[in-house]
Amino acid sequence: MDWMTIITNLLPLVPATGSAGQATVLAQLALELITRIKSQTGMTTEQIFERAGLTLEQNKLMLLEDLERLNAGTGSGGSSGGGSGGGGGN
Amino acid sequence: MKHSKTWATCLTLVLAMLCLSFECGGGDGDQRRKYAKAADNIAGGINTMIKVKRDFAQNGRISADEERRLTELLLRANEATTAFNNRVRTVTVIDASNSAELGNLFASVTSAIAELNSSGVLGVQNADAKSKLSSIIATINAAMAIISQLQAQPQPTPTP
Repeated sequence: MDWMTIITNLLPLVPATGSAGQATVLAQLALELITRIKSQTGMTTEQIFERAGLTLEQNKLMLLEDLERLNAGTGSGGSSGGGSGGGGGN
Repeated sequence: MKHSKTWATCLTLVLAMLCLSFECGGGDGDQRRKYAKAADNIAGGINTMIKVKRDFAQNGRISADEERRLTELLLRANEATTAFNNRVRTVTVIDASNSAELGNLFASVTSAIAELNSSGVLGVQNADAKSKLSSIIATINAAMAIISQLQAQPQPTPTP
């Protein structure tokens, strides 16, 4: 497909952004977007729904993980209500 | 500045191509498929933003408070999209009998993304980080625009 060729040709532009590490991440993201769009044409509607559901589930896990990290590592000035955190988890 | 422009150009083009990918489908029969694609692309956009957010946080381009705010808003957007995706998936035909319900669920997605932008992305201090996050919002908005277009069309009445 024509539009796929255009997107693929955009990839070499990505490393021109920011730091090397950042460029790598951005390139990966561009690739993921391309793969996602490209694959939709070969998937049934049900498969697309299913993949969306899986991505959303993965997103949720990543975000909860991030919140846990952010809330555990706080340090930065004063989220109110101090930190009795302990609780007896198993 | 040049870097931001290049990145913005890249994403704008990806966004334009995303729109094209919806146009290739054809007639009314595959309306449900267009909803599926839109949900898939919104999910992918959120996934992209999570990864970029993590990268920026790791490199100190956004503060912990900014990341926390973005994370909370992304979680809200993700939940709204999940509810929308789950409901559309159970529908066999999109018609007047279900379009109002789907419209409400979609409105929740729209407002969650709008809030992600206004209360999260626009609050980021680092201009370059803000610009890149805004580009991702633009790709999500492009996916949502497809659904808005579909909803603006008159829905067929359900067959008795």
